[in-house]
Amino acid sequence: MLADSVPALTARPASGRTVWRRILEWESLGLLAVVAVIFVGLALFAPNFLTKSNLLNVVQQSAFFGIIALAMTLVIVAGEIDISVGSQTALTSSLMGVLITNDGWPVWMACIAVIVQAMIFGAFSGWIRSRFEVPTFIVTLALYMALRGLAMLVTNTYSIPISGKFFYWGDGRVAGIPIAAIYFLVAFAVFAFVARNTVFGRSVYAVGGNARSAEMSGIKVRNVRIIVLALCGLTAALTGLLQTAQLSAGAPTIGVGLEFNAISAAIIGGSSLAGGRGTLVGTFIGVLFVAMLGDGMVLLGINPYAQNVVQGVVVLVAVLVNVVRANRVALRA
Amino acid sequence: MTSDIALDVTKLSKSYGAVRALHAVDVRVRFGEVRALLGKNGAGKSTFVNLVSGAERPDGGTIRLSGQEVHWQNPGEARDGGISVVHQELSLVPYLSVAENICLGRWERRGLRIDRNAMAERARKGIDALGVDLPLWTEVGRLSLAQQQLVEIAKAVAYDARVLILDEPTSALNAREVDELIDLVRRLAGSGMAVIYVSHRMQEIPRAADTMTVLRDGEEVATMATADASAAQVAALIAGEAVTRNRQPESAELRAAPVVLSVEDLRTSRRLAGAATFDLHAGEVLGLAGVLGSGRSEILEAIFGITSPVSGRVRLRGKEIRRRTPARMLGLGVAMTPEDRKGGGIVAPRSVAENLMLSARGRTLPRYLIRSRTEAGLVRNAIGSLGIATSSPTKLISKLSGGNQQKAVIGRALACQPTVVLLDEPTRGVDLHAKSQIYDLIRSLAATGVAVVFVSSELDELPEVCDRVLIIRHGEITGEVDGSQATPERLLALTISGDNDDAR
Repeated sequence: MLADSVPALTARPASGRTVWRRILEWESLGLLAVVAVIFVGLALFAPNFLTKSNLLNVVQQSAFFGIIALAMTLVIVAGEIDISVGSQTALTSSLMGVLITNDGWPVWMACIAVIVQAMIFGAFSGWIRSRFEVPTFIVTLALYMALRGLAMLVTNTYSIPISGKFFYWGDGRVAGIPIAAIYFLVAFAVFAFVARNTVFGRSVYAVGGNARSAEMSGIKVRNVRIIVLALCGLTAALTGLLQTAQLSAGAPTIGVGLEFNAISAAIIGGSSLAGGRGTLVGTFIGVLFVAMLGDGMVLLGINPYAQNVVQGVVVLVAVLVNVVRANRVALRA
Repeated sequence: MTSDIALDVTKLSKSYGAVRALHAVDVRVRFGEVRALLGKNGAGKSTFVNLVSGAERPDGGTIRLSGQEVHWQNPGEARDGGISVVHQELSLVPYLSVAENICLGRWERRGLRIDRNAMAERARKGIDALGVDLPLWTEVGRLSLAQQQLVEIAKAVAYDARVLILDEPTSALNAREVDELIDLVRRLAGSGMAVIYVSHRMQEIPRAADTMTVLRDGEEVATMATADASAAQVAALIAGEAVTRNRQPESAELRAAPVVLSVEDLRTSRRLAGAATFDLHAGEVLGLAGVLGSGRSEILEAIFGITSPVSGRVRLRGKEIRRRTPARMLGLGVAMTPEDRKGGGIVAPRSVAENLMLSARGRTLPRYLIRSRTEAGLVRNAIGSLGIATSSPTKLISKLSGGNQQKAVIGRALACQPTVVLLDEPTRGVDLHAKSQIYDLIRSLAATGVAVVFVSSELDELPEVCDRVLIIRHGEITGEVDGSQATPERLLALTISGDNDDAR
C-alpha cells in the first residue's frame, strides 16, 4: 500500500564532491586525525617506535583487547556493559590448563568447552538483565569477582603449563604478521558486517536507542540482550585462548584490567554509554589509539603509575568530547 | 479593597510560535472558592496552569495574588508566593518518606544534620490541614496512588498555599477515592483557600466546584456558577461548533464485511472494573472515545501484547491468540503505534530510514540479512506516501518535527503490511496540517481493507475519521455511536456524563 503512486525521489548523484563531504562529515575523522598525530609524534620522539618489531608488537597488543572491544561495542550500543571480560579470559585460560594438562582432554574439545562456558556466562548476564531488570553493570560486577575466584579455585592459583602444537594457531605468524592480529582483522570484518548488514545488528542499535520502541516494533529485546552478551563472552574466551597459547600455560592471573582497555577503546571510538550510538570502525581506531598510547608511554620510559593516570584522563576526555558532540548534534535539529 | 480576591488574572495571553495557546483570558477567584477549569485538550487549560504557577511566562496580561501583581520567574517563586500546583503526574520521590517528600527542597537543618523534628512538625501541619491520616515516616512508594496524591496536596498546603491548583486530580482514582478527594477540596476551600480544579469529569464538577470557567481554543467562553448549567449545556460550550467534513457512508456494507479482530470480555487491569467486548470489521475505522484513565489505551496495549490482561480473549479471524507479544502480533499482521511517541515510538538516536524499517525486518523483509537496496526503495516510498518532511532518509529522526516523527512511527507500523492497525492518539502533539494528513492516511488504509482502531481524546476528530465510535468508561464499553451520527458534543456528553447505553 505504500509501494505505489509515489514520485520517486531522485537518487543523489555520487559525485566527487559528495564523497568528499561524506568524508568530512564522518564522525570518526577527528579521532583518526588524533591517532595520526600521535603516530607521527611517537615516530619522532619515542626511540625505536618505528621499528618493525615494535609496530608488530603494537598490532599484537591491539589484538589482545581489540577482539573483546569489538563485541563490547555491540554491548555498549545495546545500552549495556560487561566488566567481567578480564576475569572470563582468566577462567578460560585456567580451564584450558586443567582440562588439557590435568584431565587429558584433546585440545579441540577443551576449546569448545571453554567457549561454550564463556557464552553461557554471557547469556546468563543478559537473561538476568532482562528477566529481573538488574543493570548489567551489577551482574557483570558480580561475575568480575566470581569468575576470577573460579579461575583461582580450579588452578589452585598456579599456572598450569600446557604442551602441544595448538599453539601455532594462537602464537604463530603468517607472512611475518602475528596470527592474533589476523584474528583481530577477521573479527573486525565479521563484527562490522553484523552491525551494519544483519537484522540482528540493526536491532542492537534499536534496543540501545529505545528499548520500548524496539519492543513495540516487534524486536525481541530480551533475545538481543542475551545474544550480545553471549558474543562478548565468546570474544573473552577467544582472547583467553590466544593468551594461553602465547604463555603456553593456563594462567588464572591474566586479563587484569582488560575490561578497561576494551571499554575505553569503544568509548574513544565514539560509542555512547547511553546506548544506540557507536560504530565498529570507530572502535577499531580506538583500539589502535589505546595500543599505541600504551606502547609509546613504555618506550618513552614513563612511570607505569603515571601511565595509568594518563589512560584515565584520556577516557574522561573522550567521554566529554562525545557528550559535547552529541549536544551539538541535538542543537542543530 | 480587593481583599477577598485571591487570584486575579487579566488579559493573560501566550503563544507558541504561530499557535495562540491562550488569548486575553480573565479569571478571578475568591478565597474559599472552588473554580472548575474546563475545556478539551488544547483548549488552553495546561497553558493557563503553567503561566499562573510560574512554569512559563506570559506574553501579556497580569496576574495578581491578593491584589499584588506578581511576575514569577520559576515555579519555586510561585510556590513561595502561595500558589501550589498538584500535577496529574505526581512529583514525589518514591524512596523518601512522607515527611521528607512534603518538605522536599526545604529540609531544615540543625548544624549539618537534618532537623527531623522541624520536618515532622511541618509535615504534620500539612497533613492536619487536610484532615486526613498519613504515616509520616513511611516510604511514599509503599502508599496507594490516592494516598500519594494526598501527600502531594499536603506538600502544597504545608507551605501556606493561598491558591491551590489541582490538575486532573481524579484521573487515576476510583469512585470512593474521588468522593474523598472532593470532600477534601471542600474542606480546604472552607478554610479559606482558593482552589482551581482542572478536570475532564463532568459528574464531579457540580459537587467539587462552586463556579466554572470554560476555555475553548485558548479563549474564555463562559464563567458561571456550577448550579446554573446543565451537563448538556456545558458539553456544548466545551466542544464548540462541530465541523464535520467528510462522511464515510455504507455502514451497513461495513457490517457485512468479515470480522477481523474480536475482543471478548477483555479486562485490562485490576484498577478498571469493566471489561470490553467488540468486533472489528475489515476496512472499518473504529474509534474508541473516553476520558483520560478510562482504559482506552490499555485495551490496545492488551490486544498488542504489551500488557497481559486480567481476563478476556482476543481472536484474530476467529482464531484465539494467546500469549501475545508485540513480535508475535506483528507477525500475525497486527501493528500498533503507541501514545507516547518518545517512550515507545521513535528510536531517537537513529535515522528516519532505520526507524521506518524496524518492524518490517524479519516480516516483509528477510529475517537475517539487510537488503539495503530493497530497504532504500521502501523508505523512499514511505517518506513519499506519508509525506514525511525530511531533507534525507539518513537524517536523525529526533531532528524532525513532532508530526513528521509521528508519521514515521505510523510508517514503521505500515511497512510490515498489517491487516489490523491500532493507533493510540496518533495526532497528539501534531500540527493541524499533519493531523489532516494522518486522517487521510487512515481513510485510505481503510479503503484498502485494513481494519483500524483509532484512540483519541480529541473528540472532534473521531467523527471525522471513524465509521463507528465506542464509548469507554472504566474499561467498559458503555455506548456506541455510528460515525454518521457522531458529533463532538454527543461524544463528549456520552464520555463524561453518567447516562449509559445511549444506542444509535
